[in-house]
Amino acid sequence: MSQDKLFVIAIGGTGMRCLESFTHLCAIGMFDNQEIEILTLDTDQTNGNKAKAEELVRLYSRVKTFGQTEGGTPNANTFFSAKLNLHMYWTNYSGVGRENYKNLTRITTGSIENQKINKLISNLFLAEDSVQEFNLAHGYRAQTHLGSMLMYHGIVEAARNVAKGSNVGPEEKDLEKFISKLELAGANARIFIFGSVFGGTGASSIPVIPKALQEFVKIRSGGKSDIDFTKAKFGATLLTEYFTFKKPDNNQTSSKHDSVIADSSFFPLNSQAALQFYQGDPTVKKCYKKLYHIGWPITSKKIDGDGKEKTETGGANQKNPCHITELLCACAAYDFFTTKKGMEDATSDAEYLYKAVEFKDNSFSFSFNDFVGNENKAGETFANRLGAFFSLAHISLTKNGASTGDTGIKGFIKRCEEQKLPQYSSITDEECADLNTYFKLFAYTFDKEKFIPGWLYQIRSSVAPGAFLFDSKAFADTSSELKKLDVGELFMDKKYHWPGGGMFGDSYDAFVKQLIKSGPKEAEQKVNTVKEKFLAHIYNSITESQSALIK
Amino acid sequence: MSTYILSVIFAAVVLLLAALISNAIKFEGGSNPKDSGKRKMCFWIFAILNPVIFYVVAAFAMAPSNRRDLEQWNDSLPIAVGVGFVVYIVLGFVLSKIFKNGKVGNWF
Repeated sequence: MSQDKLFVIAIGGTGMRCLESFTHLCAIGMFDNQEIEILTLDTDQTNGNKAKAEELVRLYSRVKTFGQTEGGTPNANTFFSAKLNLHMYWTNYSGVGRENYKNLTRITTGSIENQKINKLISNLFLAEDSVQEFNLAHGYRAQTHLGSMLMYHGIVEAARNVAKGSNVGPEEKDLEKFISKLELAGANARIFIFGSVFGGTGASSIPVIPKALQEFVKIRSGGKSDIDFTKAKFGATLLTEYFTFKKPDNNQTSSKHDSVIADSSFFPLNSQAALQFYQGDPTVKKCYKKLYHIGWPITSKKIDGDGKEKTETGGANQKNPCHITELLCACAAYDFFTTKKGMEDATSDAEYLYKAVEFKDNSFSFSFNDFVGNENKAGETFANRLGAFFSLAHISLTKNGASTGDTGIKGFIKRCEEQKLPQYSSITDEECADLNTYFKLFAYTFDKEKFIPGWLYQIRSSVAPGAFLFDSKAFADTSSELKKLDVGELFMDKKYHWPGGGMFGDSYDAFVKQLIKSGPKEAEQKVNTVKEKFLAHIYNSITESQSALIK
Repeated sequence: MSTYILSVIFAAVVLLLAALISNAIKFEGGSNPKDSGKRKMCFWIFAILNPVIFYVVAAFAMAPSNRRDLEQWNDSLPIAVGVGFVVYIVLGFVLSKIFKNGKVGNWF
C-alpha cells in the first residue's frame, strides 16, 4: 500500500453506490494502515443512494469507535483496518430563488441589455422551457452541459462564502475541511473519484472537479495557495451504462418542474459522447493520472420493477440494488491507491485502463484475480479477506442468529466467556448491534419472514447464473437452507474450505477451537482497543482456518 | 489394596470417556447455547455412573471366591468406591482447569 494520503470523492447516485462497495472493501481489510478522507458530493441531499452510502460509512466508523477513540485507528491485517473520515457536500438548491437554472443565475436581473445577453447565451446552450426550468433538487437529470457549469459554480460559491466567513453552510464547512486536508497532503495526495459518465451529477462533475477544487483553494487563500496538478494524483472511473429504468411518460414530463427526466434509453449514447470527450479533452488529460474504463457489455439490467408507476428522478426513494460494476469501480480505487506505476511522471497524460472478464454460455465467470489483479498476491489477499468476512457475517447472522433477531456477535462473545476468554466482555450490546447491522447490510437479513439481500448477495445476483467466487450454497436465502449452511465451506474451490473438526465436529466447531488457540498480534496488527483486538483475533482464526490461501 | 487401584484406574477410564464425549459435543451459536450445559451434565452423569458401575462390577463380577478374601474385598469396596468418586472429581477439576479454554473447561 502506498504511503500517500488517500482521498475518495463519490459523486451522484452511481458514485454513492461505488462508495458503498469501497466501504465494504475497507471492511474486509483491503486498505491496511490507511486513514481515508471521503467526500460525498451531490445535488440531491435527500437521495436514497446517498443516504445509504453515508449511513454505511458512519456505521463503519461506529464499529471502529471504542470509548474516546472516535472512528478507531488504522490497523493492519484485520477487518475494518482503514479509518474512514466522512465529509459531505451538496449544492444547495432548496432555498427560494435557487430551484432551477433560471432563478439561480438571475437571468432576469440587471440592466435590460445584460438581461438580453444573459438570455441569449443561456438559450444558446440550454433549452429555455425545459433545461432552464426543471427542479435541480433531484440532480442534473443527464443534462451534463448544465451540470458541469452548476457543480463548478456550487464549489466556487462555497469557496467565496468560506473566504468571506459569512453565511457558511455546514456542507460548505465540511467541504473546506476536506480540501484543507487535501491541500496539506500536497504532492502526497491520491484522489480517486467515483461517478458515472452516462447520467447526470457524476458525469457533469468528473471533468470539472479537479479544476473546481483548485479554484476553491485559490479563492479561499486569496490566491496564495494552489493545487499543483503535476504533483497531486487524480484518478477516476469512467463507468458506462449498466442499468435501465422505466421511460418517463408524457404525463410525468408535463410540468415544468419535471420537464426533464433522465431517459435510460439515451445512456449508451451519453456514454459514447462522454468517452469521446474524455479521450480528447486536454484538461482531463492533464488533471488525471489514470482513468478506468468500466462497463457492462451485455444487456443492462432493469432496476425498477414493472409495478412502478413513474420514473424516480431522485429523492429518498432512489435506492438502486448493487451491481458488480460498482465493486469493480471500488477495485479500480484499490489499484489506483496501491500502484506505483505511472504515478511519479508529472508530465504524462492520463492513462486509460481496462481489462476483460471471461464470458461464456451467456454469462460472466469471475475469479478473484479479475478484481484486483495478482500483483503482490493481491488476488489471494482479496480472496482470503472477502471469504473471511463473508464467513464472519454468516457466523453472526446464521450461526448466532442475528438475521432473525438473536444476539449475533454478542452470542459469540458469550461463547468466548464460556470458554474462559473474558477479555471481550466489555464490548457493549450496542456495539455488538452495530456489528450485526453491518453484517446484515453486507450479506443478508430477514424482515419477519421476508428475505432481504445485502450488498454481496445483490452483487452476486447481478452476475447470476455466472460464477462468482463462492459456491452457490454460500448464498442460501431460505431458513432451511441457511440452517444447513457450513460457514467453512463458502468457497467454490474446496482447497480453501476449513477443516471439518473431526468425526463429530463441523467447520464452526473447528473454528472455535482455532479461536481458542490463537489471539490478536497487537504490535503487528496495530490494534489498540478491545474491539479492534476482538476483530483481529477473529480475523487470525479464520485466516488460519483458510490455510490453503495463506500458504 | 488392589480394590483401590482398580477403583482409581476405573475412575480414570470413566473420566477419559467423559472427556471424549464432552469433546464430541459441538460448539453451538446463538444467545442460548446448550453445549456447555451438556458437557457439564455429561461430567456429572459419569461422576454418578462411575461408583455405581464400579460397585456393581466389583461386587458381582470381580469378587474373589475365597471367603476370607471376599470379606476383606467387601470391607474395602465401599471405601474404594468413595476413593474412585473423589479421584474422578479431583482429576476432572484439575483437567478442567488445565484445559480451561477447551471443551472440558466447561465442567467447572
